[in-house]
Amino acid sequence: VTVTVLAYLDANSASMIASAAAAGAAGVAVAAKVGWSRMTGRFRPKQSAEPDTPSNEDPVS
Amino acid sequence: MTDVRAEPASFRDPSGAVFYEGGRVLRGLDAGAAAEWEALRRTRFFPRLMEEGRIVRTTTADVEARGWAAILEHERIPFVSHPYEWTFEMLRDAAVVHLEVLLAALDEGFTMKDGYSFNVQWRGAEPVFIDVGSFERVGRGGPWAGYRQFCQTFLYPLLLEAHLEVPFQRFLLGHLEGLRPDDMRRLFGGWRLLKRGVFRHVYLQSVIEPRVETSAEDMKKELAEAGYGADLTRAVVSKLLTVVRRLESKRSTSGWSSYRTTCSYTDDDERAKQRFVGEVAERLQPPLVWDLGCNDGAYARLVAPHAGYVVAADADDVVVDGLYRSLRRGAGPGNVLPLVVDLVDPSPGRGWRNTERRAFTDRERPDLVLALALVHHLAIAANVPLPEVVDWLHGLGQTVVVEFVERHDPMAARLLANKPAGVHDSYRTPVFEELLGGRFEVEQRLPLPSGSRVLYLARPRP
Repeated sequence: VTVTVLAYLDANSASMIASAAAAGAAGVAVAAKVGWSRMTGRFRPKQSAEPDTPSNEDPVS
Repeated sequence: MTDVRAEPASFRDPSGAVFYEGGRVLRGLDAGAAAEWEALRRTRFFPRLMEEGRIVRTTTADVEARGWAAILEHERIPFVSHPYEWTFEMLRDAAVVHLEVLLAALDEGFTMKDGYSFNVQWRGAEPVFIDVGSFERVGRGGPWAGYRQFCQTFLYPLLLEAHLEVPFQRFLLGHLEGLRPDDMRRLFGGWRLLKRGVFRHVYLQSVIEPRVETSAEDMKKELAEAGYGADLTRAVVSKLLTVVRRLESKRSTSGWSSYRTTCSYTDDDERAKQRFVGEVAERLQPPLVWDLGCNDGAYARLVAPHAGYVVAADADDVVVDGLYRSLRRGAGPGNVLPLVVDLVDPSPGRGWRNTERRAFTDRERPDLVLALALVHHLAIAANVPLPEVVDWLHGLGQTVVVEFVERHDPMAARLLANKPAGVHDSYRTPVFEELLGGRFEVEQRLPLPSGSRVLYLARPRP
C-alpha cells in the first residue's frame, strides 16, 4: 500500500542542525558540513526582520 | 443514540482525531495513519510497552468508521492532567518515558512526529505515553521532528528548576508550546552555559536558529548528503535521556513541606479525623475523589482503598513532589494522582478557543470532595469571602467532607495575626455553619477533641 504521510509539525530546519550537533562527535561533523557556510564568519544577526512563527505546530493544509 | 464528542485538543495532526463515544475513547485514522497502525501493531516494541504499561492500551475498534479508514480504541485515562500541573519529578519521569518509548521505536524503524509533553498522561503515579498517532515509520529519514518541541516542553522547564531553582509550572501554563531557545539562552548566560544540557540543547539551537532559513525538506536532504543517518537520531535521543535522568530539583523545603510536624493537631484529633474521613469513604465508595489542599497526601492515601481514583491537589509543588516520590517509590496506592493546583488560581481553559486544554474544574467531576484544613487558607490567607468559599464548594456539585478551623486554633490565629483587625471578624464557626446549612444538607458534624476544629459531611442542596 502506498501512502502519503504528511508531517504536521514543522521540525524547524535550524533545530535539525542543532539536533545533529547534539548527537555527539559524529553529529557535530555532519552539522558542521551543513552549517559551516551559514555559521562561520557569520555570527551576526540576519538582516531580515521576519518575525518567527508563533507556533511550531503548523498544520499542513 | 450514543453521544459522540470530539476531543478539543485533537486537531493539529490531520491524519487522525480522538473522539469520545459514550465512555469509550476512540481515534479515527486516515488511510496513511491506518497503514502506519497496521505496521506498528506488528512490531515487537509496541505490544511489549503496552503490556508494561508505558504505552496506553490500544486496540482496533469494531465500530462505525465515520469516514475514517480505521478506528482505534484507547484505554480511558481516569483524570486528564496537564504538564503545568505536574511536579518536577513528574515532568522528568514523563520525559524519560517519552524518550524510552522513542528509543524502542527507533530500534524497529519507527519514529515520532512530535515530542510534546502533552503526549504523556498518568495512571496514578505511573506515566503513560498516549499519543499512538505520533508513531510513523522512519521512511522519510532525517532528524527527529520532535526534538525542538521536546526541548521546549520537557527539557527547558526541567532545566529551569534543576539549574535555577525556578518552578516551571507558571511558565508552561503561560506558554503551551514551552520555552523558546532564545529566551532560555538569556536566562542561562555566562558560566551557566556550562550547566548540564545547556550548551548542547539550548545554546546551539539559539545560535543556529536565527541564521538558518532553509526549508525543512531541503535541510533533510542536505543532512542526508552530509552523512546523517538513523544512528545519529538514536544518539541524540540517548544523550537527551542521559541529561534528563540526571536532572534533580534542589528545592526540598517550602512553606508547607514541614506541615505534618508543625500543625496543631493532637494525636486524638488526628485519629478522630482519620476515622471520620475513612468511614465516609468506605460507606460512599466514590469513583472519583478530589483531595483539595492535600499537603503530603495522608488523606488521599486513606481514602484510596475505597475510591476508584483520587486526585490529590495542592498549590505547593514541593510537597506534591514529595507525595509523588512516595507513591512511586513506596509502590502505591496506584490510584492516587498528585497534582500542583493553586485553588485560588486553578488551571484555566488554555489553547485554541480556551478549550484545547480544559480548566481543572471542567474535567471529570468528583463524587466526593475532601476540603480538609483548607477553608481557613482560602478565607483568611487568600481573602476569599466565606460565603464565596461555601458557594464554590457547592458548585463542585458533590458530597464534601469539609473541616472548619476555628479562629483560636494556632494555625488560624497565625494567619489572622497578619491581617488588619476586623477584616475577618465574620470568620467564625456559627457563621460558617449557617452558610454551609444554606447550601448543603449537613449529614454529620464532628468537633475534634481539642475543640478548635470541626468536621462536616455535607451533601449539596439542589
